[in-house]
Amino acid sequence: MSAPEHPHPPPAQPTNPSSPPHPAPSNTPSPTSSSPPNVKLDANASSGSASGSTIPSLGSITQPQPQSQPQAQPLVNGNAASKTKPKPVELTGFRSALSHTGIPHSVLTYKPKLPGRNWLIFWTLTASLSATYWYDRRECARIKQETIQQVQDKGKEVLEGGSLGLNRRITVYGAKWPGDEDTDRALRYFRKYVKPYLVAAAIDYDLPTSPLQGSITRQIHAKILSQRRQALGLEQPEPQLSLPGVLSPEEYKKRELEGGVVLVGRASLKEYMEGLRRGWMGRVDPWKWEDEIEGKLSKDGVFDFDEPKSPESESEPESASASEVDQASLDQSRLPPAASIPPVKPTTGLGFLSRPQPQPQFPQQTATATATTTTPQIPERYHQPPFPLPAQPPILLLPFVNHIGFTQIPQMILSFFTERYRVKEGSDAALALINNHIRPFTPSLSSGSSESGSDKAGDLSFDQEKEKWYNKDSRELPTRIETARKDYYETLAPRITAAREYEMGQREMTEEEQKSGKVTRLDELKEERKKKELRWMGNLEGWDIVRPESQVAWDERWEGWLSVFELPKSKDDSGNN
Amino acid sequence: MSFLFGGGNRSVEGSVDPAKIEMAVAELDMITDVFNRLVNSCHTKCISQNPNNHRYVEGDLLKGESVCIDRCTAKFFEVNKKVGERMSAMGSAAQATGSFGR
Repeated sequence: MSAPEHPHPPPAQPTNPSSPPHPAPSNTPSPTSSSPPNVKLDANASSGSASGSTIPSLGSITQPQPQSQPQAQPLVNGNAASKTKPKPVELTGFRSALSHTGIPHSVLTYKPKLPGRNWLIFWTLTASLSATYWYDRRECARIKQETIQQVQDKGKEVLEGGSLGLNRRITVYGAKWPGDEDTDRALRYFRKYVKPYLVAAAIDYDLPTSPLQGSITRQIHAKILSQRRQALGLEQPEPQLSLPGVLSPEEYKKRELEGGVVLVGRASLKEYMEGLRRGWMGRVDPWKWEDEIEGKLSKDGVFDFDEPKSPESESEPESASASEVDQASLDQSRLPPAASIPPVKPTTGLGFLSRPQPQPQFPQQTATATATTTTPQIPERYHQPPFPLPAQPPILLLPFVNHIGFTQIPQMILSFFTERYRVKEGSDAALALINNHIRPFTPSLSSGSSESGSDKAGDLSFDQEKEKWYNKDSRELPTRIETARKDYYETLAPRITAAREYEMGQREMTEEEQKSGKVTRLDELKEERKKKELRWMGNLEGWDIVRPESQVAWDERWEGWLSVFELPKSKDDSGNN
Repeated sequence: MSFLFGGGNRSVEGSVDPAKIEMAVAELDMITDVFNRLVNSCHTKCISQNPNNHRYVEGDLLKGESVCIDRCTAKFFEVNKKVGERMSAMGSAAQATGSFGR
């Protein structure tokens, strides 16, 4: 490109792109610029002598200067002013040959060298971190893409039954991670790592929320209980809508069995199994969690008004009763559920009357006179767990760990860069679910060691090592609830007294109450307290189920009853996070 | 008598009808509108995700489409309900204060 320029510059300067401004010629006579021409002259000596044979000698001195990049001059000036000029590099070998092609001299003499030590550190860190991140996410995308391609054909099948046909539907239970206020973490994990494949494979999913610890247990318990009671004729089945597309109970059950249950993390497993035990192994008395709590609350005497007391003296028995309640709830949750039902009877009996109940077929023959005559007598043999136990949908155990808190930040950072392992786990789980790889539930290594390798412990110890990530907050839950409860009851006592005095006409509205035009009633206080107690007792009960010291509920009679989806065995090497 | 009462009744009906019919028509319009929007959005989401190369491969509904439509419909009504509640709350607040305050 610049090769043809050489003949031109002396006669026709305007064609040279760098020459038109002509600043250099005016510079050249200045004393400071007398040294740069030397540099440039030396550098250009060859070109000047080669091309400038026709040029007058005076011109050959002045002309090369505008050619030799006037913009470089200030720099050279500065250098020259500060120190002695560097000797021009002699071009050797192929470089000297190339020097005539117009390639700038600086390019030919370019010698790369490493940047400084700090720059090296900086670039190494930046590059390796971003490469790790990039590689990780690319792997994630690849795994996801491959898995979706494996299963998406299932989503493109024609639906049997036309527009009224039904797809496979699974239920996902994600328990609250102990110590985390965010109740949705487990379900979000599911949505992020498993859901995409289910969508591709056209499997519908149901995500019941579990706002408290132990919610899953109670939901399962209530569901199983109503199933059992309906089967025994103790309870009317739900009224059926005679619409197209509405399933009969048998079809519904069948569909549920075909579906499956996903349990995210060990806490969900513990809660689910405890729910199964309470539901199938417990008694079939009518039970509702809210009523159970209300029954407990109505007996602790916080709202008793037989002896009017001053607030100070009243707060004393209340805190005592509060701790009693706490003790009771703790005791009760430790007891087998069969024993925990009876105290509920009085309250649930009232709820029982409010809606029509079919009489059991053999209500009176075996009935022995008991104190609670409001409930229809349920024969003792009804309380026996059914045999054989009705089939349960297969379970998918999805490993899950949730790092929270300041001390787990290193693990969070690590998991940020190892997303691919979780994507792999999720896709493996989804594949097992979609392809229906089912094996029987192996409670422990001893009974299931025949077919499982050494790396696989029983299903009861699923995800057990993740329990060490439960933080301090979760272990302190009982004490925290205790404190909150104590504080609450201390403030509640004067409010109860005030409300009662007002309701009994012993006092007028205070100024504040007149301003707001509203007086707190006893019923409102009761309601408020019930809400708080539901939270506290529910969380306490749940913590008792999921805490690391308590085992997953298991019964010998359950041998061979449950089934789980088989996950590929090779995934254990990714269990580092 | 019967003729008289019948005629009277009919005239009463006739006098009441227009307002009611208007309400019924408005109601029907609303429902139709909701339905059309539902069909539009769920069809766009589930059936013709990529309008450029989409074609109806099968005459019947596919499994994936069916799941998508189920969830889309449920979501649509859920959102509809929530927005409606919010709007009515805002409306009543506006009536109380006299304007749509911010």
